[in-house]
Amino acid sequence: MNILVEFVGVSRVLTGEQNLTLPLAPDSSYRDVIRQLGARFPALIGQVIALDGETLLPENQIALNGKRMLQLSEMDASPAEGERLTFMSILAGG
Amino acid sequence: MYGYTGKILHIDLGTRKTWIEEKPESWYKLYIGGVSMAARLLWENIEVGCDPLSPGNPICIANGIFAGTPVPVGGKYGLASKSPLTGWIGDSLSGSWFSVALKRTGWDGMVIHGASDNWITLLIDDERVQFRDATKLLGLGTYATEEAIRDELADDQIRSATIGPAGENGVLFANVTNDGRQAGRTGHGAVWGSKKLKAISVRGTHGVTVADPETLMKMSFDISETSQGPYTSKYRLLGTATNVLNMNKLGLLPTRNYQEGTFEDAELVSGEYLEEHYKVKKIACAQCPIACEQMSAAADGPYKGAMTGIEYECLFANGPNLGINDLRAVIKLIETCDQGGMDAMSGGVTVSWAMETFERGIFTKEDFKCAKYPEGFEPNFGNAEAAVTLMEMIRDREGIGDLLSKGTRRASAIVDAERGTETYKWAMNSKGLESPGYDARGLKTFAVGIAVGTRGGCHNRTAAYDPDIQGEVDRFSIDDTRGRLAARTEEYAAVYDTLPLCKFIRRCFTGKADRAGAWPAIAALINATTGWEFEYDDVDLIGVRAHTIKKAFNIREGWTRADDDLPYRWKHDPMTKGASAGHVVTDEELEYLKDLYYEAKGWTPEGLIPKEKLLELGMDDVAEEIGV
Amino acid sequence: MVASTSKYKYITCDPEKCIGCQLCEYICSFTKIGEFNTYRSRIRTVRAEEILITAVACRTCENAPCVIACTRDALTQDPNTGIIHINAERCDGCAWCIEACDFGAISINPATKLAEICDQCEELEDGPQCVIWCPKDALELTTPDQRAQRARRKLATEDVLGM
Repeated sequence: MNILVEFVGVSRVLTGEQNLTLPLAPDSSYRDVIRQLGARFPALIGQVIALDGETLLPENQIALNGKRMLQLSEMDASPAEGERLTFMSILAGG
Repeated sequence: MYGYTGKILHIDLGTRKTWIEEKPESWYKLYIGGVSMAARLLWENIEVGCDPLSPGNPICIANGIFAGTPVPVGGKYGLASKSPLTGWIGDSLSGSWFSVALKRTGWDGMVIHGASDNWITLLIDDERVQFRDATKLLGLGTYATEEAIRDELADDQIRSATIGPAGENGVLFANVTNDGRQAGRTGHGAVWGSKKLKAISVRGTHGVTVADPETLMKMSFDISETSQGPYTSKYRLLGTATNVLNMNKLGLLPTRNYQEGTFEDAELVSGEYLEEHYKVKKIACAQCPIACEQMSAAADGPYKGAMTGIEYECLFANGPNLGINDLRAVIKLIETCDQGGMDAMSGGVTVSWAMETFERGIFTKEDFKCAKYPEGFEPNFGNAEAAVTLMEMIRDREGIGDLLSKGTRRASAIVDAERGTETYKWAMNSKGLESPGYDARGLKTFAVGIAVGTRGGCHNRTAAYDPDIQGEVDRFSIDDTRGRLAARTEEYAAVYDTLPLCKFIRRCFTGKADRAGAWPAIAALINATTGWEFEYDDVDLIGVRAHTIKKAFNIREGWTRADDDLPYRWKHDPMTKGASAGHVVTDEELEYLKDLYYEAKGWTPEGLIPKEKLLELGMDDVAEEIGV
Repeated sequence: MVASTSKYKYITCDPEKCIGCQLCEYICSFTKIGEFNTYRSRIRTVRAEEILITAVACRTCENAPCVIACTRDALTQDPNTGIIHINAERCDGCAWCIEACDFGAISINPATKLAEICDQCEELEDGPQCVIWCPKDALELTTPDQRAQRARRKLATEDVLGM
C-alpha cells in the first residue's frame, strides 16, 4: 500500500523534500512510518524524530489529510491506503 | 526590594510637570509587569469614558520583571492605552533594548498624561526627564527616527520607542516601534500622535541587581543552552513564517480577504521559500538566545532593497490575504508598515477589505485616485503595485487612504451609511481589531477565544487555537468543554504576557510546555530575582489577574456581552476549498460558547464579574467600582 | 592602524553568528562588578546596520598603543599573555588610552574614573565568561594564527573540495 508523506517546516529544511510516496508493508503502523522515514532521512533524528527513532519530538505533529493531528494514542494504528500525512513544526505563532 | 525600585514616573505633556509615584511591594506582587501592570496603571490613571485621542487617555508603560538580567527572552515591556481603533483596552507588548535600557534608569514604569502643544520627544536620562523639540524628526520613519535621536545625542546606547508618519497622521492602527520590534496592535501610534509625542528615548546607566544572582545565572545559562536545541528549531531555522504551510495544509490560511483558507501559491510565500531566496540574517531581541527574527530582503525586482523582519502574521495579511504570491512585494508591504509605523496585520486586512469591495463593484477605479495615479487604479487581488500604493496612501491618509486608515469596522460603516451597501459583511475584525492568520471557521475553540478577547481580534491573547490544532479536541465542532478550555489558554498566555517572557521559551524549562512544565521554573526565576516565595498557584494567579484587570477596564468603559462577537464572514460564509471547507460558527454556537466561557470564568451570564471574584484576587478597588 | 600580534590570544566575535543578544555584556559586567549593566561591560556589541552586528573586546595588540599613550605609565602589558593591566593608583582617568585605541576596546568607569579593559577573566579557572555564555558560539578566545589556519582549512574544504 502507498501513502503520501509531506514535509513542511523543520522536516522540509532537514530532508530537502516536499513530498514523497511511501510504500508500506500491510499492517504497518504510524510508528513504522516514522521509523522508515527516520532511517531514510537520518537528519530528522534528534530534531524532528526522537532518538528512539519511532516517536516525534515535541513541537512536531503529523496531520492526517489536513483535517486533524494524529494523537500519541493512535501511533500503533494503521494508515489507510492513500492517506496524506503531513509532518509539521507546530505551532509557530507570531 | 529586588527586581523593582518601587517607583513609577509620571509625566504630564501639557503642564510639563513630572512626579514620582511610589508603589508598595504588595502592588508589584499582584501585577508583576508587562500587560498586567500596564493595564493596572491605565485603570488607575485614565479619565473614564474619554475619547482615546484626547488628553485624558494616558500612555502606560510597564517594564518586565526580568528585563536587564540574563534571563532569556525576558527583555520585554508592556504598553497600555485605551485603543482608538476599538474603543476598548489596547494592551501591547514589545521587546528588546528599550526595556533593558528602561530597567537601568530605575523606573519600573511610566504614565504619560495629557498632550503637548508642540511635537516633542521625551528623554528619560536615568532620573532626569527632558522635553525635546521633535520638529526635525517629523516625517521620519521609525528606524530613521531612532538613528536620528542617537546621532543627535551622540550615544549609541540610547534606545527609543517611536512613532512613524502613520502615527503622526493619526492612522487608527498606527503602532509604536523600538529596536525593530513593535507594540503593534490597537493603535498606540495614533494615541502618541494625538499627544504630539514622536518618541520616548531612554538612557539608563544604573546596574541591575537581583536577590539570588547565583540561582538566576545558573537557570539562565541552562535555559539558554536548551533553547539552542530542537524545542526552538522552527523559530531559529524558519521563524514564525513556518505557519504559512502549516495553515495552508489545514485549510486555515486566510486567502483573498478570508474568502478561502488555501492559497494556490502558498509554497511561493512560505517560510521555506523565504529562507531559501530572501533571507539575509537572523537576529535577536536583547536578552534572547533564540534569534527568531528573520531579516529578509527583496533581492531583485521593482522592490529591490526592501528589507525587514518577516513574521507569519504580517506575511499572511499581506501575501495570501491579498492574493499576492510574490514575497518581494510582501517584504515591501511589511517594510512600508514597519517604517511607516503601523500594524501590518490591520493594514493588510484593511487593504484586503478594500480589494474585495472593489472586486464586487462597489468601489471603482476612480475611488483610488492619488498623486501617483491621478486616474486612479484597480486594486484587484494579486495586484502588488496597487497594494503597495494603498499601504502608502493609508500611511499618508491620502485619498481613499484616509477612509482605510480608520480600520475595517469604521471604514465599512462609513461606506455602508453613504452608499447603502453591506460591506461590513466582509470587514474582518472583532471589536474593530482586524482578524489574525487563523480562521475560526475551522477552529471552534479559538472562535470563542477570539470573540471574547479583551483587545479584540487577537490570536495571541487567546491562544485557544492550540487545543484545536493540536487535536486535543475536534476543531470543527463544539462541546461543553470549550468555554473552560478557552479560559485556560487565555490565562496561560497572560502569564507570559505579564512577566513578560517570550512564549517561544515555553518548552525550554523542562521539556514540557504546559503549566506543570513551566510554572515551577518561572516561580524559581521570579523568586531568584525578587526574593519572594512564589509557588505554582501564585504563577497561575498572575495570568488570572492580568486578564481580569483588562476585562474590568472594558466593563468600566461600557462593554456588554453583545460586543463579544465574530466577523460576519466567519458566521455566514463557509470556505469552499481545502481541509476546513464547509464550516461556519453559527450565532447559536457562539452564544452557547460564550455562556460556557463566562461560566468557566466565574462571571455572570452577562459576562460581568462578581465582587467576590475580584476580592479573591486582591483587587478590592476594582470590586468596588465594577463588581456585581 | 596597529595590528594584533600573532602570538597573543584575544576574544573575537564572528559577525555571521552574532545575533546581538548582548548576553556577553551582562555576563561580563556581572562577573566584574556583580551587576547587570552593559555600560560596565568590557566587551561591547556594536550594531552598525540593522543586520551588521558584532562584539569587540581588547585585541591584545603588540606594542599596545594604549600602553604607549598613557602619560602616567598606569598601563602595562603582560609579555606572556598580552593582557593589559591597569594600575589603579596611577590611573587618573585622563582617557588618552581611549584616544589611542582604534578598536574602542578600553573604557573609563565614570564612577571610579579608572580605565577598564577585557582581561579575559584570567583570574577564573574556566576563562572568559562571555565565550562560555554566547548562545551562538560567536565568541572565541583565539590568536590571529589560529584564525588564519581555520580560514585556510575552510577554503580548502568548502571552496576547493566542495564539501
